[in-house]
Amino acid sequence: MKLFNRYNRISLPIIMGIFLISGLCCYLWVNHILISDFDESLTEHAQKITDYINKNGEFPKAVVTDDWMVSYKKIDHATPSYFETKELYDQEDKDFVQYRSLSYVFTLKGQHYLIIVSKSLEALSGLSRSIALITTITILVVILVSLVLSHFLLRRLWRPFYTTLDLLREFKLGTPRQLAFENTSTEEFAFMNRQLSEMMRNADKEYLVLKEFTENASHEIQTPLSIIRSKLDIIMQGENLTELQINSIASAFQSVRRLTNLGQSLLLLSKIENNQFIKTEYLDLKERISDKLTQLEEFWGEKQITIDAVLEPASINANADLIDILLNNLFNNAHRHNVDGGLIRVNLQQGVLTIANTGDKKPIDPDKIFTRFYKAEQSSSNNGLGLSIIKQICDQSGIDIKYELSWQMHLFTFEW
Amino acid sequence: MKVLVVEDERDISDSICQYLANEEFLCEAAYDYHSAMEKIHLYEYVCIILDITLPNGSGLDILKQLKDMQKAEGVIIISARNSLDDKIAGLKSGADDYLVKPFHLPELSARVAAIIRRRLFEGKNYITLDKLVLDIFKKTLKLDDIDIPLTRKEYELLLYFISNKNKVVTKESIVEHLWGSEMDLADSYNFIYSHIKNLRKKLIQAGSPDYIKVVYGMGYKFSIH
Repeated sequence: MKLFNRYNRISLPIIMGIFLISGLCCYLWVNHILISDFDESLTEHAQKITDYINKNGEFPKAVVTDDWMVSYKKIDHATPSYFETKELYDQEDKDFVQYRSLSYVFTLKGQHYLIIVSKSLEALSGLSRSIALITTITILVVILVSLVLSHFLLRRLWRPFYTTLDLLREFKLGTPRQLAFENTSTEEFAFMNRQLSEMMRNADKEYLVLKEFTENASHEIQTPLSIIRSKLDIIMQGENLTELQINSIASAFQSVRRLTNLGQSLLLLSKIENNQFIKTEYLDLKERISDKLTQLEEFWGEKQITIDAVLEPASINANADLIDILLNNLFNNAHRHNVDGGLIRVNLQQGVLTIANTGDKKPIDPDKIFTRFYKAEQSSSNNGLGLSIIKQICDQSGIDIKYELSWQMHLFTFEW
Repeated sequence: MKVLVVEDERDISDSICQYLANEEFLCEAAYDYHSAMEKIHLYEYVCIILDITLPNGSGLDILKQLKDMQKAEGVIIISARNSLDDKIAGLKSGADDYLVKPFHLPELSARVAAIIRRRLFEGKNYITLDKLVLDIFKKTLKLDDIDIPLTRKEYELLLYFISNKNKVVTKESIVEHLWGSEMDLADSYNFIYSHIKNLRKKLIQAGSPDYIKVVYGMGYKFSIH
């Protein structure tokens, strides 16, 4: 949830609550004041009646006006006077109207009379409605103002934060461009920006050191490897080598080749990471794949592997060298982990390439399969970098790659 | 004919000289920029094998100087830097070829031989070896004026053997030479056996001696004296 929405979600109910409560309080208070006011005027009126009776020795005429009603009733027992609010039927309006009334007992010549003085509360209910209306309008206005305020004011106050967020979204480890956070006078944001750029500088530095280490190490390996390989080439030329010597030379050669491949694969990975393959063009995948397959069929004769290829015209916008490396790695992988008399099934359509090969029936953990140096069998002589190179190329070229074991075949799906 | 090896790693330089030197070639070594420049000024070489990173200077500077001096030497760059940009930079500066370390000595030998053929035998398109005559342009083989039809791969294979005559070459280096090094073929070098068998059969049927010998456990050798 966005910051603004979250803010509004908390602040609006609170504001509404406060206004409802204060509106209610206001209403009750005003009501209380008015009622006491009413009661006072009823008491005054009752006093006037009392004075009149004391003076004239008789009750004044019972009067019924719009607002006032006075009535007399003989009763047996004297009761204390009390105020009450009640609804009386109004003949004219044909409706019940609220009245406030004072009932008290007056004793004239030993006879108790109950005198009820009532006054209509109509004016009061109009006032209550007005208060409710004003409260509602105020709430609406406040909500509106608060929304507008949060939209503009908050946005303005938090702008440095969002600028930083935008910058962070673009941040990628190992890119040469340094992120320039904007200066802000808000202390918290300035602090955050300082901390962030410090952290990112450090991360970048560590990353570069690590990358340079890989690059340099793979480079430095090449020279001693050249020496070993050339020395082996020289030793091989010797006459009368024993079988033991020959076998030793052969296995030394093998190991040199493995080391060479390892160094070159690591270099390739860091080159892809360094974006050294940026030039892209539209490539005819069908032609490339069928060329590659024709070429490979010759090499694969020994394992008696059947290639079942269904190729439809398809193209991709990518770097030619990377796609070449990708296909080589892919087919080599499908071949290397295959069984004698196995099958490689290739299916190409625009936007989708699938390659399935028979092999070990155990599924490989899809989370680990693209990890560097991951090998399904530890003893195997390959370096476990082939598939991470494939993954890296896919990431670079905007291709989605998926691995699964399907119908006992290892299936790789590429989508772009 | 003299070949100059400019390489600061003495071990590599020694190996190259040892491998290349034969009755045709004389190999000289320079281990840094200055001695390389001195030798280039003083002597004529048919081919220079040049490392890029040298003490006191860069191999690319030597290339530039060679161009300024309008020397006719063929130059092969050998470098541990395996990137297209480096290759293009090297070839643009006037190098004839670019070989990435670590390389097979037979491969270097084949490339040197190709450069020498291009530089020295201008107009002369034939390599004559014993009774074999190879036409470099038409890529054909004749024996006693009779054509021996060869496939493209067989022809390249023969040329590779001739460039490394009397040397043991591994199957691995043959595959890399003919199909490129990006093919990762791990354990299946044996498929070249059929190419070699066919080449041998064709040569023997045409009446040539059986030059190509199998060297147990290592590879093949083209023996000729």
